Amino acid sequence: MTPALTAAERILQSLGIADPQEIDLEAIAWTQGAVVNYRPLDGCEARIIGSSRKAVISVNSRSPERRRRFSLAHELGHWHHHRGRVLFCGKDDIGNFANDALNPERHADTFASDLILPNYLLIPRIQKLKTVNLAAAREVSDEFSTSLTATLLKMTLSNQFPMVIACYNKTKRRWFERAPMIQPWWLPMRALDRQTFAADMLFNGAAEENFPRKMPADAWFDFKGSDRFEVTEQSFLLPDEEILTVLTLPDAAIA
Amino acid sequence: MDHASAPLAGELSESESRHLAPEEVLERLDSLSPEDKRRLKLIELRRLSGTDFQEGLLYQEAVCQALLGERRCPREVSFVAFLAQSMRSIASHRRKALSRQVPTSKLDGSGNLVDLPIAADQLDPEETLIEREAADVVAEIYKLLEGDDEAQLTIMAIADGKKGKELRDELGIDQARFDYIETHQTRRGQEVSERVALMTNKRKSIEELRHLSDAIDESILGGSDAEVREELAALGIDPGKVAAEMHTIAEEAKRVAGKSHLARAKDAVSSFRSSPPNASPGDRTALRSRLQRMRSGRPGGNDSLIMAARKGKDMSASDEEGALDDLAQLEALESEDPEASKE
Repeated sequence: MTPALTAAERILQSLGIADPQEIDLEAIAWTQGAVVNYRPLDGCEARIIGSSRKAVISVNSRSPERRRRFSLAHELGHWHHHRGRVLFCGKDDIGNFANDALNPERHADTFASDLILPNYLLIPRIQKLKTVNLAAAREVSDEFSTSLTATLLKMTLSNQFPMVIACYNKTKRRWFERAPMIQPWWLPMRALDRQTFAADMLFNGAAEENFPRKMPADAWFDFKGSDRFEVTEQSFLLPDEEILTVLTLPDAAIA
Repeated sequence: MDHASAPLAGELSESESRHLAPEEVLERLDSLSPEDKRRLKLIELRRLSGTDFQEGLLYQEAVCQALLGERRCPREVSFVAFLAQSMRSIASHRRKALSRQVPTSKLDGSGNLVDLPIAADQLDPEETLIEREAADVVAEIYKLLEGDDEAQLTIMAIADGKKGKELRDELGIDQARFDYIETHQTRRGQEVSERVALMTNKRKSIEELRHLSDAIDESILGGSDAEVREELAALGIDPGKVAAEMHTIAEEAKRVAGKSHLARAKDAVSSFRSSPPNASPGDRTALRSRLQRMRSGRPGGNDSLIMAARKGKDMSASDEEGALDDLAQLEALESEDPEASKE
């Protein structure tokens, strides 16, 4: 069954957008009553100031292009959901998917993700993939002009593959997301196991693996019996000494 | 600067709320019943005459214009009737446009394209147009009376301006027979006979024919589905397939309208970039005070404001100046927006 369109996807479809290249966020903002400025910002990635009908969005011109894009889409999410409110999104709110569903930042992030990576364009594209690996995900992120993190997050949530993504720093797990098809007890460890390829990259400066590598599941998951399974892992480094790992799980993990 | 071609959207103002909003148009479009679609199909077929629209494209154009807000449906009007009226109007405009297109060349006997001489004493263009329109309306009614040769002949004679004895002579009938034709219950019955009667008495027959044409639309909109199905079948159209075809046309119209909307927005953004609204430096102190109220979460007065920052931390002095510029720009945009000023 085709999933119902989200608010952001409805906007895209109402504009006849049928290809990722057509997602022109400034033009979309205009259709929603918002104009966009790019200026250096010290205190935030982007901000929106608006009244009941019009809004001005400023995006940090110093940020990388794909982050600017996500930030603009995020502010459009606030414009769609939160008119009449004053909100400040702290740094820790970004990628903090433990936030409750009522968190306005999560609403704005979800809207942004749907706007730049709409399922009706993404799913047909990733259904052509045989497996998930970073090379394939990078191709998709290039097509949609999105960050690799945002692309992998949406690929995970699209439930097309038995996958988990997890972000770690040197001391703990920062956040993770898993495909809805995965059994709930497949929770990634709270801290990186030193035997993983991810730990080798983060702590020892090892190079990124060119393809997903097999690893005993108990290096990543600590539920009873996890040692009976094998997973694959492939990671890439993020800024601020963090790493994002893509884990592909065995069929036994599927609910 | 002209941003009028793609106005910034936003919440509906009071005046806008008298008409369906674009999303409501979409909703009504998606809610059209198969019966509605069959009625619209029949009306489209009637209205195509005299235009260069291919079948389906007149309906598509009407849907497109509704979605783009070029024609707006008043809330109190039935959406089906609105689409029917739009098709009528679009077809009429198209006929007028076509009638203004005077060929400037033709093929000679050897098949070569030659320029036509342009004479200064051509017919009055307005008169030419009226004649053309009249021919189109007559053609519509003529089609409606398919199968009734005598009635068709009568319409043609009336359209030629004949009346009274001249008309009866032309038709080769006596007064009794003419009276019978006038009152004859055709498929559209009473309306046709009343209009025919009026046409014989008034010179404004074209206007009457137009009214008749509208009455026929109304009778289609108010008619039973069985009648509409029967008429479609008589035209060689499978009524069972019409709903799906109309749905496909509407989907294409949505796509075309959406792309047009996006293209206009892109143009408007370019235009905005090249000549932004005049955001006067204004009273920085007042702007600063408004910004402070917003940041404190107490906009005050009639302000209904949103302010949000992604990855926000303390504003630097430069950030604050930028925010004041944004606020000034917002005020300039509001002042350019006639709907906002009514709030």
